[in-house]
Amino acid sequence: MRRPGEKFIRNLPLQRKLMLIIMSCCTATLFVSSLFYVTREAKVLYRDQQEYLVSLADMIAKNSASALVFNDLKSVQDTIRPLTAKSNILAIYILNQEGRLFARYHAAEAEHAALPLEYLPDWASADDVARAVQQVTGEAYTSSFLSGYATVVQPIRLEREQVGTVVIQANAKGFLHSLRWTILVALGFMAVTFLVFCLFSARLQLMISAPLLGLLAAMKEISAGKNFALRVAKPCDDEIGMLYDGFNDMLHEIEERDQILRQRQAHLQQLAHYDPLTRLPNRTLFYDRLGQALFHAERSHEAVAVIFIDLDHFKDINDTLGHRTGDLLLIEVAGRLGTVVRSCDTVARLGGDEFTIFCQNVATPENAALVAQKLVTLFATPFRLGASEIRVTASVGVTLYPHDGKSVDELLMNADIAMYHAKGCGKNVYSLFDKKMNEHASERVTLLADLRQAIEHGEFVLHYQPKVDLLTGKVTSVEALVRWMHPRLGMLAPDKFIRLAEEGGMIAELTEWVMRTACLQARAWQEANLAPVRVAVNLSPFHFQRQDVKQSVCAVLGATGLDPTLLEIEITESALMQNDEYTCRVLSELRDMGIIISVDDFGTGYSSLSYLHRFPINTLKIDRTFILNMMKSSEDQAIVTAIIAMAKSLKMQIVAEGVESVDQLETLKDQGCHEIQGFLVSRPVNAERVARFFTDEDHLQLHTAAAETLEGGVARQLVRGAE
Amino acid sequence: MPVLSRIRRCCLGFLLPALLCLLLAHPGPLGADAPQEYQVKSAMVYNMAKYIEWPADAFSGTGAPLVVCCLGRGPFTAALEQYRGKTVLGHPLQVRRVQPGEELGICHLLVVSGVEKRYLAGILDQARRRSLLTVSDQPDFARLGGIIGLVEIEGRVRFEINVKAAQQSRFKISSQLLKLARIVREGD
Repeated sequence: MRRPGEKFIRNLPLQRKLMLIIMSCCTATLFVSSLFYVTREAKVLYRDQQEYLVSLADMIAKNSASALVFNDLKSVQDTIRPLTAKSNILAIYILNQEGRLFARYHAAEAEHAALPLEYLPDWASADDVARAVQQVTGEAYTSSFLSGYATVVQPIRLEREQVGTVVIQANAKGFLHSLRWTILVALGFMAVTFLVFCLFSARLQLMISAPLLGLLAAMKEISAGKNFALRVAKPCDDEIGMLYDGFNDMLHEIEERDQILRQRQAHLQQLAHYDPLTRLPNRTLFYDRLGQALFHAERSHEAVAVIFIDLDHFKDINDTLGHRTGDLLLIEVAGRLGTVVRSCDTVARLGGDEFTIFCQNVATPENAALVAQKLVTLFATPFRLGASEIRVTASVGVTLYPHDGKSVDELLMNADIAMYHAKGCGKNVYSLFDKKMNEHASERVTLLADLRQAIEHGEFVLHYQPKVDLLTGKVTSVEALVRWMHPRLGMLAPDKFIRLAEEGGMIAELTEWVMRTACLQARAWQEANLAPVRVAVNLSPFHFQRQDVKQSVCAVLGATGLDPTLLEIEITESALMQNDEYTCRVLSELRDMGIIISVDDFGTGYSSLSYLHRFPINTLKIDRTFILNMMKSSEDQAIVTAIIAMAKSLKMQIVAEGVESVDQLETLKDQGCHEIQGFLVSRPVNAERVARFFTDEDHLQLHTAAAETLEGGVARQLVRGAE
Repeated sequence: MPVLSRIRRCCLGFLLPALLCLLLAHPGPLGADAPQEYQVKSAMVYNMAKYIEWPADAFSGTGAPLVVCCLGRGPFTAALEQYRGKTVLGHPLQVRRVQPGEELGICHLLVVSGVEKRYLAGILDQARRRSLLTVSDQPDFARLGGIIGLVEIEGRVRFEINVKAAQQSRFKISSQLLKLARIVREGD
C-alpha cells in the first residue's frame, strides 16, 4: 500500500529532498538527545526535590520522635510548625505507632490539588490511613508531574523501633517550574540547532544537488539549443562525476550522429534539388525558383525570359562516343552556360541534353534574344574532351513572361516549342516563341494522334526502290520505303512521320507492319514466278532498344514463309553503335539465318571504323550527300573512294545511294562500286511498278548508252574497263 | 532424637507466631491485668530509659542487662513486666521486685510506686548513692529529690525531671526528653 505522503516526497525537488533527509536525521537525533536531556534533568530535579523532602521528613522524624513516644501532641505541633512556614509544604502528617493520625498540618494556601490524606478524619482507622499512605507512596512519582504535589513518607524511629510515620506533601511547583525551564531550554536549543541544521543542510545538500542541477541545466540548455558540441565540466570524481562523463560520452555520440545526419540530409538535399552530373539545379529546384521569380516579377511588373536549350545530335554523340563522353560534354556545356548568365539567373538541367535558363528583369524581348544568341555562339568553339575535340551545336527556344505565358508550365512548354522550332529551322539557332509555333506544335500533336490511328487502320503503303548491280544492270534487291496515305494531307514521306512514330513509341509496330508487308510482297513476287528479288527493310534504332528484333523478324518470316536470304535489314550507323553488344549478337544471329545486313547512310555518323569488321555486315550503303557532292567536291569523292576501297578489302558489298546522274554512275562504276540506288534507276514506286524491273534486261544500259552519246569513248572505255 | 527434634521444631513453628502475636499486641497480656494508667506509665518508663545516658561505669559491658527494680506496692511492677527482655540502648531489660531496705546494688533504674512518704527519703538517699535513676508516680517525687516524677496533668500523664538530682547521680538526660518534661528543683 502506498502511504499518502510518499507521492509528495517523491515529487519534491532534489534539493528539498536532500534537505528533508538531512533535517529529518538531525531532528531525530536532536529530539532523542533532547528527550534524554529532559528526562535526565527531570530525574535529577525529582531526586533533588525528594531529597529535600526526605531530609525535611528526617528532621521532623528526629525532632518529633520523643514527643510521639510520650504522646505529646503539643510538642509535635511545636516541632512541625516552623517547617510549615515553608511555602512549598502543603501538608504534614504524623502517624503514631498504631498507624493512626497523630498530628496534621495543612498549609493555609487553598490552591492545590486534593491530597489523599487531606479528607481523612482524625479518628480514621489505621487501615484507612495505611491505604491512603500507600496510595500517596504509589503515586509519589506521577503526582509530581500530574497532580502538582510531591509526597515523601518517612518512618519515625526510636532505637530502631518504628514509633510512627511522617508524611510530607509538598507543592511540586518548584520542580515543575524547573522542569518547564529545562524543557524550554531544550526546545530553545532544539530550535536554534534546527535553524543551524537548516542552514548547514542547505549548504551540505549543495554538494550533491549542485552538480546534478548543473548537469540538468546543461541538459536543458543543450536540448533547447540543440548544440551537441557543448560539453559539461566534471565537478568531482565520484559517481556524479561518472554521470558527467557518461553524459559527455552520450553528447559525443549524439554529436557524431547529428553530424552524419546533417551530412546525409545535405546530401539528400543536393540529390533532391541538384543534378548530380552537372551540379546544376534540377527540374524540381528550377520549377521552384522560376515560380518564385514569376511571383516577384508579377509584383514588380518585370519580364522574365525562360530559355530552353537542347543539344543537337547529342544522342549520336552518346551512341557513338559512349555515355562517358556524353556526360563529360554535358558537364562542359553546363560550365559554359554558367558563364553567360547573370548571378540572379538560374541555369538548370531538366534531364538528358535539355538545359533551361531563366533570366529575371529582362527589359525587352531583344535582350532575351541577345542572351539566346550568346548561348548559341557558346557552341561555336568546339568542346575539348580529353584528347578529342567535339563540335556540338544547340537549339535554343526563348519565351517571355508575361507575354508568352503566365505559369511555369506554360512558359516551359512554349520554350520547348520554340526550341523545336529552332531545331526545325536547321538547328544551331535560337528562336523566340511565337503564338503560331503553338499552332504548329498542336499540329504535331494532331499528327501524332493521326499516326496512332493510321497504324491501327493500316493507312500505309510501301513503295519500293530498286538497287541495281553496276556490272549486270539487273535489279538485285528493292528497298521498301513506307508512305503514309494521310486522309487529309495526302501521301506523306517517312521524314514527316518516322521521328514522330519514334517519339510516340509506335516505331516497332510500324516497322513490323513494314517488314510483314514487304515479306508478303516478296512472297507474292515469288509466287508470280518473277525472278527472286531481295527486299530491304529499314530498322529504326528505337527498335533495337526493345531487344526483340530477332523475335519479330523470325515471327514475320515464319508468318510469311519467306526465305530469309530474300530479306535484307538496313540499319543506320548510330543504331549500330548503340548497345553494340546486343546489336552485334542479334545481327550475327540474323545473318546466320541468311539475312543480309546493310549499314544505311554510311559516313554520316560518328562511327569508329574499328567496329566495322566486328559486326556481321554484308553491305555498306554510302550516304547520298557524298554521292551528291562527289562530282563537285574532290574531298567527297576521296571519301567515296576510300569507303569503297575499305569495303572491298573488308569484303563488303557497296551500294551508292542517291545516284541521280550518269556521271555519278560512271564514276562509281570506275571506283568499283557494286550497286547503285537512286532516281537514275527509279524513284520509289509501288509494288506493281517495281515488279517491271524484275527482268533480265540491263536497266543501266539506257543510261550508259546515253552517256556514250554524250561522252563517247570515255563511257565505252569505262564499260569495257568494268567488263 | 529425631522425634524429639521434630516435636521441638513443631512447637517452635507453632509457638513463634503466637509469641510474636503476644509481643506485638500492645499492651501485652502480661500487663493486661494492670490498669490503663500503669500501662501508660510503664511505657513511659521504658521509653524514658532510651533518652537517658547512664554513667560510664553503670554497666559492665555493652550487652549487660539494664535492671529495673520496682519498689513498693501497686500494679506498676506488673505493668513493667511486659517490657522484660526488651532492649534499651543495647541493654536487655530486667525487671525485679525489691523490698524496702534491700540492697539495690544491681539496679540501674528504680521505680518507686505506692511507698509511704516517710520511707521515700531513705530510698532516695540510697539510690543517690548508688546512682540509680529514680522514677516514681509519687506526688512531688522530683521535688523530694527523685530524678523523674510522673504526674498527671489535665488527665494526661506527664513527667517532671529534677535536673540537679540527675546531674548529681551523673545522668545525662536527652534534650528531647527535657523538652517534653517539666523541670523542677528540690524544695520547690
